[in-house]
Amino acid sequence: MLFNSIEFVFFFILVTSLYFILPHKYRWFLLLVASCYFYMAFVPVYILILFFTIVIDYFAGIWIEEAQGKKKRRYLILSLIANIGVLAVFKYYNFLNDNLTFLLHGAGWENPVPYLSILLPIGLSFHTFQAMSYTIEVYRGHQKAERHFGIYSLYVMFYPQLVAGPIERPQNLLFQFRTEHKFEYERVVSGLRLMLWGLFKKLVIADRLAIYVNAAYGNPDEHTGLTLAVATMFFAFQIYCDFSGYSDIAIGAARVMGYDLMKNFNRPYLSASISEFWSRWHISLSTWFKDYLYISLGGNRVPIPRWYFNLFITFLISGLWHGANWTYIIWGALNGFYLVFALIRSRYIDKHLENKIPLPAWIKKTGNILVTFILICFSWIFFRAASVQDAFLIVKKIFTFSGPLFTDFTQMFYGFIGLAVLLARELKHEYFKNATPLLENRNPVVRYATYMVLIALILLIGVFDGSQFIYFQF
Amino acid sequence: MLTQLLTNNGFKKFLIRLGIFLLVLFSVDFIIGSVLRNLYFKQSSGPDYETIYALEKSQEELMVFGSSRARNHYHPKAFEEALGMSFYNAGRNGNFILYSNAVVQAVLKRHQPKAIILDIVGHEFEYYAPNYEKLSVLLPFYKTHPEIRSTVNLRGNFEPVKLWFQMYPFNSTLLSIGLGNTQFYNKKDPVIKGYSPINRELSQEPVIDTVNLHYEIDTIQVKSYEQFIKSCKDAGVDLYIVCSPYFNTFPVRDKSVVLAEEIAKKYQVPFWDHSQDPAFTGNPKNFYDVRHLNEPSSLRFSTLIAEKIKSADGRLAND
Repeated sequence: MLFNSIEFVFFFILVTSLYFILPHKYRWFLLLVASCYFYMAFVPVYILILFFTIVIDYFAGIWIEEAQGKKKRRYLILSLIANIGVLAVFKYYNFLNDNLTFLLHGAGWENPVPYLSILLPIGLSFHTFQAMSYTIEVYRGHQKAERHFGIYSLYVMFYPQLVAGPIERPQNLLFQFRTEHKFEYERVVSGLRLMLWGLFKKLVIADRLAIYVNAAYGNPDEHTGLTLAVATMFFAFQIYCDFSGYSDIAIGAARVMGYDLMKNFNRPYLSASISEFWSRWHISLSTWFKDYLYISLGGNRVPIPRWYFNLFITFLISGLWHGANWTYIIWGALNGFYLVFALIRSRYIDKHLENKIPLPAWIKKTGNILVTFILICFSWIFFRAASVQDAFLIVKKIFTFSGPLFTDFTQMFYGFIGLAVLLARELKHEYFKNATPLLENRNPVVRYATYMVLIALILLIGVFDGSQFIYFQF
Repeated sequence: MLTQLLTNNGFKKFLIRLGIFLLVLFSVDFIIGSVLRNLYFKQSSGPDYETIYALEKSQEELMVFGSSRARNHYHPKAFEEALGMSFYNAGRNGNFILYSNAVVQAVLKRHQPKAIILDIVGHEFEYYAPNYEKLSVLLPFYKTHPEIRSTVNLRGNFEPVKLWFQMYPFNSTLLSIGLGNTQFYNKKDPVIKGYSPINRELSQEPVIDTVNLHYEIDTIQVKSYEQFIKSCKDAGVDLYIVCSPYFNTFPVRDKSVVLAEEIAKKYQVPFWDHSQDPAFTGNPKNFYDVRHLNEPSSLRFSTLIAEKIKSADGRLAND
């Protein structure tokens, strides 16, 4: 079930109403049934995969807590193998097999390994990572094992964040299922506001820009460098509004019922460096990789070359997490390279240049924001392109910069209206925190007028083709 | 628990504010929706105006239905001169049989043309989700034309729910409404009785087009095609189904064209497949792009079809 569908509106109203009507002791069951229904609206049979990992991790959690020494570690490894195994089979098997075929073909051999004809279960990478964070935290002693099978299942399956995050930690979420949440006016309204803003970002900006992006990226051979450059910039906003729109709806829906999910985006395109960008983009995944991979590899408390390696490998794996395709691996590697290069630059170059270029701070900051945005846009080319060949073709065309711009005036006109609203809100929240808010304004006339403008824009220029969220495929 | 909820002050406040919110929302929606409806139906040029004309005003004796290929291929001059009938081309860019069927239902409800030409395309019955999404161009007529509702509802199960909002039918039309109330479209692309002349000659050689020969047939679109034929027959309209020329050649006949011909035969409707007509196909001078004839060729093609109609049924010709 998609957040941007009428089905979800009815589902949300029904589940939330029942949630507040039912006594607290039955609420976990309601949410679990609702979450199963929500998930099964995609491909029902894949709930069995979820059930498999839930059972393994539930028992692994208890065994890890009860075991001592090496046994504890063995149970953790069992849980990790089960989760990564599911990912490997459903997400990476055919990719690995493709590469094996390529290698064997080069040597003149046939690949005897058969292909699997399977669809990738929706949101698989999200819920397996959330499940893994549970067993790791139990192993580290930061979280007690959950004895209630239903509540543990709900931790993995909680419908607002089941298919595209935010990827929660057990310390933040599990206890909330045991807390009784009363109907709180301010919380409910604030959740609904966030959902409205998320819907605006998805329907008005992301899906509108997608029309131009899909036309250009779907056929890069026939488009000019200028068109592809504009499409890449549009894609940067498309993916941001698509994914952060989803996160806003997820966080808002959970907030209405009294649950706090972690913030997933924090105006990333106003970052003045790549490392700042990664502290503002898909925060729940970035912190997951930092907590469970980067720090486990030694983080920055190792010799400098090893530190750079840790950083690079973390981003490389983050690329692979996004998809079984070389385009994602290159995307991850590129971001890893940016970060390592930034470290080298700050260590060996910046300190010699410091104060040698007398520019006002705001100009330096604006320049840094623009450079960061351009570098991130460049990496998005690999994320969005259908293949590595396409990506290099697009890069080549952009840098030759020849030919006229493909102008889809209607889509651009509506897209720019949405982008103008987004930009105004982001700048206000970043630089003018004390300025009068619109959505949260105390004056009901201003507040209601803002609601109406957003709803009117959704109805008049939103795209209602029921398109999926990009991150569902991961 | 319900009593607890009902006595919760926050919940009471929420219900009251929700009531106010919905009242304001539906009032604003009604006002903006009504203004847009008024402006929409006041348009004097552009694609929406042409749909309004076809659905609500057309009184012509000969009408053409189909996609952009219909709109660019059937020249009024040829038909008016050869058949002596008034003519209107109701083809619309990017819309296929589902749209044509809905429009013909609305036309036949108020007016009976003497003849109708339905232009079908290769891959006409291929399942393609945008064919359903593009039915949004009919949303402004949903309220006043019950005969098109079943077609519009194919967009999704919840279309009637979305239509609770008066603004929704005018989704993505703000710009076209604005321009349609000026002479912008007439100046940009002059249209003659629904026919849109396009002038350019291709500068490429034809190829054998093998793109996706084994696609899935969408039974809903096939049914829509059958309904189109039945409605014309029931109304006593002479129907001619034509597949107009393509630039490239196809290694085999397109499955949709073959199926369309079989169905036409079943209903004893003339079916003329000119998709590979050597008088047009393969010659870059005849085409604007690989799918569309340029104006001089469209006039030649229209004359050919008009003559065929004349010889197929002499009573249509007034001369």
